[in-house]
Amino acid sequence: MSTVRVPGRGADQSVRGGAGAVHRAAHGPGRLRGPVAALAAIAVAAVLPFVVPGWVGLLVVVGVFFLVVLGLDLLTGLSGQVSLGQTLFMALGGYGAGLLTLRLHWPTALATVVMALVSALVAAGLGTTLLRLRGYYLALATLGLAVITESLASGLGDLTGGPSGLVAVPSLQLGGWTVFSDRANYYVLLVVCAAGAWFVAGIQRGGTGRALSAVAADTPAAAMLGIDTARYKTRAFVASAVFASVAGSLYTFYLRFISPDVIGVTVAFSVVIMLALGGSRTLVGPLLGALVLQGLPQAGQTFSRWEPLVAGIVLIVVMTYFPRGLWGTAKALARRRSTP
Amino acid sequence: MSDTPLLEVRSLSRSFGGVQAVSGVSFSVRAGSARAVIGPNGAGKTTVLDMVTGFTRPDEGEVLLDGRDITGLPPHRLPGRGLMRTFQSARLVPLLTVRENVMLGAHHFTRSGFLCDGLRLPRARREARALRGRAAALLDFLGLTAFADRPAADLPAGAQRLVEVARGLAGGPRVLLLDEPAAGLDDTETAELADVLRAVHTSGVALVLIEHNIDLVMKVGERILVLDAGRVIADGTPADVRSDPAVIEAYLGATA
Ligand SMILES: Nc1ncnc2c1ncn2[C@@H]1O[C@H](COP(=O)(O)OP(=O)(O)O)[C@@H](O)[C@H]1O
Ligand SMILES: [Mg+2]
Repeated sequence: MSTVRVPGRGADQSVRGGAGAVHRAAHGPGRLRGPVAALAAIAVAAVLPFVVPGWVGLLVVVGVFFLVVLGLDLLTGLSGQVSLGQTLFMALGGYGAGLLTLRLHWPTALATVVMALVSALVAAGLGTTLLRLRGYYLALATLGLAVITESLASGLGDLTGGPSGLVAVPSLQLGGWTVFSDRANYYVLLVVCAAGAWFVAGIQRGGTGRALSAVAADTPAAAMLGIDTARYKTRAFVASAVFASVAGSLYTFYLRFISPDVIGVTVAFSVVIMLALGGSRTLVGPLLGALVLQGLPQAGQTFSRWEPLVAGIVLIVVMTYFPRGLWGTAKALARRRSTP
Repeated sequence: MSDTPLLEVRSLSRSFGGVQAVSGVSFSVRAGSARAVIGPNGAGKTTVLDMVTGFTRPDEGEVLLDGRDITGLPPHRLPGRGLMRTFQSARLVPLLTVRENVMLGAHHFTRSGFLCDGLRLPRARREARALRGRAAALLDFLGLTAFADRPAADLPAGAQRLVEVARGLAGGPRVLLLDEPAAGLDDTETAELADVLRAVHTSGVALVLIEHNIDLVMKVGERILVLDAGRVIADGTPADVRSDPAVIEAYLGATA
């Protein structure tokens, strides 16, 4: 132990300049499992439309919500800040892109990107104020955003088409390709979701993920480590807003329509429920949550009336007995098996 | 100039409601020196440390680092200026591994944000590698390598405090403030901690050690500040303090 020089200020260079520091591969064979699993998942997803052709429309919607929940996983899962207001950004992405393309004839992809930037700015502005709140205060304030979003969508009839919504929105255009069919939309969402998941995984594993976890666990202690906690929280909010905005735009181009129902308060709740149900701080959890919650109404017409009830019961059972969500619980069980 | 103390505390006072927790406490810490702060429970030691690190705003007084006023600076600005602390009860991130917790100590050196990490840019990889190396060296130094990949929450309380010390050192401090690091450690662990702190001190890091364990204080402290009921009752070398009648009455008398 005496051979180790205690790192004082002089050792900073190894971090700042990146001169070769001592290190070893941390995880051994486990490091390969991630990429292999990801490739397998993408391969399965790629052939899915041919296996279950009747479900492609449902899977598009699952993809849209997977994207929203992935973003929320950064904010709520990693940094511990609840937002019930993600529909604000879905609405900015949805209505914004719809209006820019319908009224101003902007290219659809450009409208999507521009609205993502607008959502980022709005989140940055709101975040600095809202994220000072904690616990239920933050939940309530963001719920306020969801309520305002739905009422503005209905109320600003001249702009948004009111309760009946904005109709005849064009389909997404990528180069010369019109993304019209369910299958085409599915593949676009597959690519965007894969990219989004890859991005979120990088944050979860990287220094930003560690910093956000520290903020979630103990904000004052995180500050003492030199982490600007307000800034990290705001940035997580901004990232979650970009995900929700892009999802909202793609959803609108798929439906070729958007209405207050699409971004209503129940939708805002269901996004949070998807994360809690599937399990946060993972990639599979959000996907599982989106699948279960979007899949339930498809289980039968008569059933769809009871869907909110069943979703509510499932949520209560999962949160009471498996607070880590479905995927978190499955992972914990697998780990217990492998380490006797 | 070497005449300017690294850290200087000038007549800090703070009350909570009607309780005067700290009144007029002054002391200074020279670069590379080791100072202990002792005093009975409730003497105001933690409150002093909280005021030095921007956790608690003082009612009066100021804190200077390198002769510059840092009173009221937000805590997250301090590690970059060479000041790190540990807490009276370990405040690790329970979900992260021990290694990741120690890496967090050096987080303030890094510049990678959401985009760098999300897109896995070369800088993110480079910084992760450097942090990993630094954490590995510190875990080895503190004999924690066996725990490196366990979630911090799984460790016994004694080991968690050592991880906190490792995390504090990972930040490359010029001055490390430790709030009762030996609480919850057994005798062997306390002796190990004393060795570690002496090695840290020898390497040039100044220490401010708040501690109840007199053995540890006498082994590590070069100067000892004694607080009682929020006031300084003695400030001197271990020998001075040991023989100070006020100290014997207020504090040492009970244990000697
Ligand atoms: N946040 C607080 N609110 C109210 N009283 C406090 C607070 N922090 C400390 N005190 C009081 O200040 C006094 C000094 O506490 P503290 O600094 O924790 O002492 P020590 O660390 O020496 O045991 C105690 O009487 C304690 O009850
Ligand atoms: Mg204390």
